[in-house]
Amino acid sequence: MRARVDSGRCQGHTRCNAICPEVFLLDDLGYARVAGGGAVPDEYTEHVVLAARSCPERAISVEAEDADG
Amino acid sequence: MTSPLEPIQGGAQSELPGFDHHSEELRDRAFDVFADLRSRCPVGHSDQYGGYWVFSAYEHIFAAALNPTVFSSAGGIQIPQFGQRRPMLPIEADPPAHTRYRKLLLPLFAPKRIDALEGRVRQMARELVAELPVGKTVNVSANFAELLPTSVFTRFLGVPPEDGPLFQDWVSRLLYEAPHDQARRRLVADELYDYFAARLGHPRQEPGSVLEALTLTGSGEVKLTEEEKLDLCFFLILAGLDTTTWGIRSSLWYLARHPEAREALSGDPAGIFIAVEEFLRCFSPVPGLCRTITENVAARDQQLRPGDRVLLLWASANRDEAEFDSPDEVLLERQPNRHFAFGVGIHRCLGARLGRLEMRIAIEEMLSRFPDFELADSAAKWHGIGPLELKLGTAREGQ
Repeated sequence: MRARVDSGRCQGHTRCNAICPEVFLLDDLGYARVAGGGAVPDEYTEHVVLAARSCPERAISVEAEDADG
Repeated sequence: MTSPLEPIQGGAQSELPGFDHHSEELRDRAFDVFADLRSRCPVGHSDQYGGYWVFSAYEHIFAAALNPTVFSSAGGIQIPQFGQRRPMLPIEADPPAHTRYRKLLLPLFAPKRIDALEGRVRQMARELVAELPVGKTVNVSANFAELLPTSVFTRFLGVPPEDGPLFQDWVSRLLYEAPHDQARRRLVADELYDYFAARLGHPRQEPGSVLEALTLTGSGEVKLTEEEKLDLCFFLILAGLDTTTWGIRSSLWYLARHPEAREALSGDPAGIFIAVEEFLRCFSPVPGLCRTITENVAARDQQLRPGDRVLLLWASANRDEAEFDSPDEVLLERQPNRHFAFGVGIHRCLGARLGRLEMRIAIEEMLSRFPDFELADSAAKWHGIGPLELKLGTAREGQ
């Protein structure tokens, strides 16, 4: 799974970071970005999906990785 | 994806004669009225206050808040306006001015800075809770829910903590005493402006405070006029005090009626962290804010025109069944919970992290000392404002 934060939409609610701090990092002002280029370790997929559905701005998108990786 | 702001066919009702979001009648049945608006008239029009549109559905409110070009804030965000002579900043500004003000303020509300306040907020909360009379009936609003945010925010701003009661008085007079009396509100606003003009004139400011940052801005890349600095101070006080009080008071009102919730959350900071979001959703401290239309736009089958005013009812969006299952039930573990209690879009509440911190710690400390408390009047309805009389049980050992 890959996660992406649309920085044009993120307004710094920081909900994603509260739910999955391993994948959603905050910059100094509280805007979110994804760790490690967006590749989501398997153990966090559930939390990442919840984080995406918790974003009031709908700034987070997730997609399943290709079978080819 | 089709925009909910496109016209649709059909003749939905739009007139809401006499609708007044400040009315006494609405106070006890706001959520029933909002549900009715959403189902019958999500884009309605009231003839009060010179006429205004009322958006009550989550999707319309979301779309409007994400389009600040068409839904401008520069025309004022209150219906009616507070009567102050100047705009409230940054919330009553549009880009690019808005961007400039946020750039200045955002670092003051940075997550690391707010998180560092936790110990101090907890100490304040613990001291206030320790003062509450064991086994007695007490107004927990006046003795706790109002005092904590006032103590926290006066220090955060950098004004003397002993001026707290002045602020409580100003804010309550502005927000609740005279919503229809512009002249009286203007007097209160003038008093606040005079107070901050004097404070900003002090040669020494509290290190790390908002006032210090404002007095230093002349030299930074973001420059502000003296008037703009006062506008920011005025709005920060309005935004930072009563909203948090409302959140704490509402949470405690709910917990007073639900022993099972007190038991579940007691000693569970992670549970309280999630429950705070549900209290914010169900008892939104800012029920609605206004925008002004800048160009022709359609919502449902209604035509909105430049100059029209629109009330975005956050409190109604937060109860919208299209977004939330069982919207009128308080589900302490509800996730996801993408409510709009702090707004959405570019005007998202700057103080959200501080408000959340204060609510969480207020609940933690209250439950830690008082496992049991109930409403003094078991029939007392929820109100975001006013007194909250609680009958407190015994205090927990060692607390």
